[in-house]
Amino acid sequence: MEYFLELLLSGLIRGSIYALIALGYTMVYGIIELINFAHGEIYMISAFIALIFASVLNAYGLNSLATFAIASSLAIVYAAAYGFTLEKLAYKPLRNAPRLSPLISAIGLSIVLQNYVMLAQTSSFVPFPNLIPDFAFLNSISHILFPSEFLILVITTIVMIILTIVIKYTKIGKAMRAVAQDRMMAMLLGININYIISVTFIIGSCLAAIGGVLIASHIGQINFFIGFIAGIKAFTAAVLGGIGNIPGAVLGSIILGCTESFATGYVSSDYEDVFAFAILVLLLIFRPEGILGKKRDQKV
Amino acid sequence: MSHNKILEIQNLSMEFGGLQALDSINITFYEKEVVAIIGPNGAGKTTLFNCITGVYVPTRGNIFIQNPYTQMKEKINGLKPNIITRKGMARTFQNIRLFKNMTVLENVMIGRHCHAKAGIISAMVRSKKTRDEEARIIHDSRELLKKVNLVDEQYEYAKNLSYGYQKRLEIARALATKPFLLLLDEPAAGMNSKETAELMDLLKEIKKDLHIALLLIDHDMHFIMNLSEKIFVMDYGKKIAEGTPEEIQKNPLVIKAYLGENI
Amino acid sequence: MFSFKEIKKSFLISLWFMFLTFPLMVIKINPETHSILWEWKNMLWVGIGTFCISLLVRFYQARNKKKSLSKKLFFADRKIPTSVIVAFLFFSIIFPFLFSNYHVNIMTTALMYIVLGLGLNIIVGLAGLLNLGYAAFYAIGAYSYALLNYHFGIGFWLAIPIAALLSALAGILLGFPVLRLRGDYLAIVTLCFGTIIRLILENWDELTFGPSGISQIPRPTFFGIEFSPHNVTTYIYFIALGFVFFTIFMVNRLKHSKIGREWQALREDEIACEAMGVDKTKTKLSAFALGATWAGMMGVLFAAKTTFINPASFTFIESVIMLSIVVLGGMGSISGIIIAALILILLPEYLRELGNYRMIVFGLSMVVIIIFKPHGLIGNVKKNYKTDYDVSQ
Repeated sequence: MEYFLELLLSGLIRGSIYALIALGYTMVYGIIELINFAHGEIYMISAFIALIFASVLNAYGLNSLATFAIASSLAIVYAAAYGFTLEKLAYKPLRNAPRLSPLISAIGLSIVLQNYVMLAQTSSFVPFPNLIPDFAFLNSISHILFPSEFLILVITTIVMIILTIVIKYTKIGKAMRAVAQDRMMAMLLGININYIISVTFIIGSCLAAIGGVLIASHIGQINFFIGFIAGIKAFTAAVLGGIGNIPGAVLGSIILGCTESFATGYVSSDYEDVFAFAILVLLLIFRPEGILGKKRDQKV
Repeated sequence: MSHNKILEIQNLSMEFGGLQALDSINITFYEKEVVAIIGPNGAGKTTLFNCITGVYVPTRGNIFIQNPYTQMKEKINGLKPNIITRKGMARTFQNIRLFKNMTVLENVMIGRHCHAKAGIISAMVRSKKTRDEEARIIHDSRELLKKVNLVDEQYEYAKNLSYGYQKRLEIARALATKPFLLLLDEPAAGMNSKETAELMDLLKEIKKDLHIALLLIDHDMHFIMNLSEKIFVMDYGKKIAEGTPEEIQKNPLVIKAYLGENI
Repeated sequence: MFSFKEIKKSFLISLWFMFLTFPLMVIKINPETHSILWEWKNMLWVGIGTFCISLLVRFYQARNKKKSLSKKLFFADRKIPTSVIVAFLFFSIIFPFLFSNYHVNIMTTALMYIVLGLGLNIIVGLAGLLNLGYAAFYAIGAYSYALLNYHFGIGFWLAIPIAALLSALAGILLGFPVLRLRGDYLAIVTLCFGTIIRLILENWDELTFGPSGISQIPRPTFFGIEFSPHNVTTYIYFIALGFVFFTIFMVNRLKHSKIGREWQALREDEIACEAMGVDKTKTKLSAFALGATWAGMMGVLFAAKTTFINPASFTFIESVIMLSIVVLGGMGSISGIIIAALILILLPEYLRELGNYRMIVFGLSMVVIIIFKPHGLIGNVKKNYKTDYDVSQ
């Protein structure tokens, strides 16, 4: 039983990270129907930026909590800046192009960003400093829940709540939902589409950055390739939940994380990904629109 | 006028969730007839259309078709749209659904395909038989384009045609499947009076030359009254009246439900 | 030439990029010693570079505005003149006698990718079914040959039809579950399919020999005659060239046949397609099966060319490159795909001199090409059925 709980917990933690990245995919998809392939790279870049600033601050002798806070904040700011720039550079010119064209520029960007980080920094794994303080109240259960894991769960929950509030109740959130429903109509009602799209990319990138920093401090090492795998998994999770649907992305991520965790625990870690993808394929056969996705009937 | 039945709808009902879109509809269509279905928005006209053409599977009731050439009668509800089309019923759409990035000629050729046999292997080998079949398709499609006056535009992409031309192309494409019943979903919608008049002439000509039955849905009363020999009126998923245009215009139920302020 | 406002804008853009690249370019962390190296001169390069590029783009845009629209569409809707085709033909035949084996080898790879692009084009370009797992069929072909040869000693030429058949079957197998899916859902399922196939190859050691792969796969023979290692490169080049011609010929026939038009109609509008009596299921499955066939055959050639295969040759990136060839070429255009395949395969090879920068240049070229030519390099040529034999009756 304890083993089961342990696996469940590790599944939840994986799921939380996937959720943070998957939200970016799903929000961007909801608004401009684009699979933002470079999204995983934002996550990777933000982990690197956090690492760089943390190393610098460390060298100047700042304590670890302050270092962690400053480095993560800078990473989030930079992720937002990167997300904003990518959209302006590679997707905005293709707004009216055939549907697959932005996909190609996204793939191209993904290749560019990976190699840019590899050249500017290194191609090998870099150890990520352990900056998360020990929480005293966790000592009694520290054998099953590390402080970093605790932090992942707490921060993900907080972020989800804030995001829900923003989307549901703020003016910008309402505008985003309007654009997702009908871009043309939203434009006619005076919503600045370009502004909304930029905001969506920025929010998505910030979430990815939070995920990047958290997972990097949890696992303890990063390299230029981590964004690619995490990106594909998160995208899978977004589709699983019903792409374009925000609660769906979270649910899909948690299901995916738990599936992987149980597959690793009870079967073999070799087939972890096979299970994850098989779940998705099976689900889509029976529910082609994803778990929470809305069935879009074609009007005849 | 012959009185062979071609389509028989018995007790047809369709429910969406709790909504009763069609309620025990009984309609019979005869060979070479021009029939119109009218009714206010939401009366269930398009739903009926979609049931007949196989897009929806009706909740209850039966639809039979009787091929006027072979006199074979068969039940078609639950069959897929492509099978129904092969059995001799073709349709156009309310909001035009052409193959936009294909040429006008190719659009019509697709319609003709359901009477062609060539498969993948014959496409690669391209025997004399396949080539003849292909030439036949091209020839027939061009003939149809001549009929709807689009032969000059045959190499144009469908998306580049004007609205009226696109509607005509849809009719030609549907005719290419060699139907004995052609279903037209709001053919005159969005057209100006000149285009409507042209369409009316075209449909009359089609009826005369091809000896097929037409089933129309439309809101343009002038168009309907001028063209159709028989009219069914629907309201709230029920058939409330049927008869000749004159009878319908006088029917108090119809006037109450629909025509009241119009005519 | 440039107004002050434009220069100021470019300057601001370069400032923005200097800000963006500051942490990654300037602060270099040494992973072993954790020492920090400040490389301020990188920032200068970024600033100057982005400033110049931004001005260049501005210049291009200003020039483009003046140009008439017809000139912009230079390539679209135009048949390639026969003289160009003949010249290409001639060059492709004498190519191996002019260049060293190194270049012949690279060109062979490019030719194989042309075939792969044309095969994938059936699925993506014609039938409009987004496929991100095409490399799986390529892998199935390669492993079919390698394993059939290892266990039963089956030769190259016999393996080709067998692999083609097996891949087609795999195509149908993938096709069934995804029949109801559309667009991006299809993309992710095909991506998963590709990954699952690769993972099975990696982990099913008893059958596939796992990550270490299969080596000593025999090269193709010519009616039982083996070639010397030097000549065999040329021989394989000609096999690949033969495949290119064969594929162009077949794809062209398919495209302008009943089934080809049905694929395109399906891409345009599924509902209208069904209303015209086209069987959606059959049409989709045939596109998957036929597209996969070409990947299977190329897989055999790949195994025979490299004489060694392992799962690492069939990663997601392979599928992505194949898809990029189709999209960059201009979805459905045969000549566009040929050019895109040559660019995407030859570019990284000949950029090797740039060392580590080659992949950046590669990715950037993809972005730049698609932004300046969003519909692909070459637009589709309309088929005029004018010249077709008229009905004789």
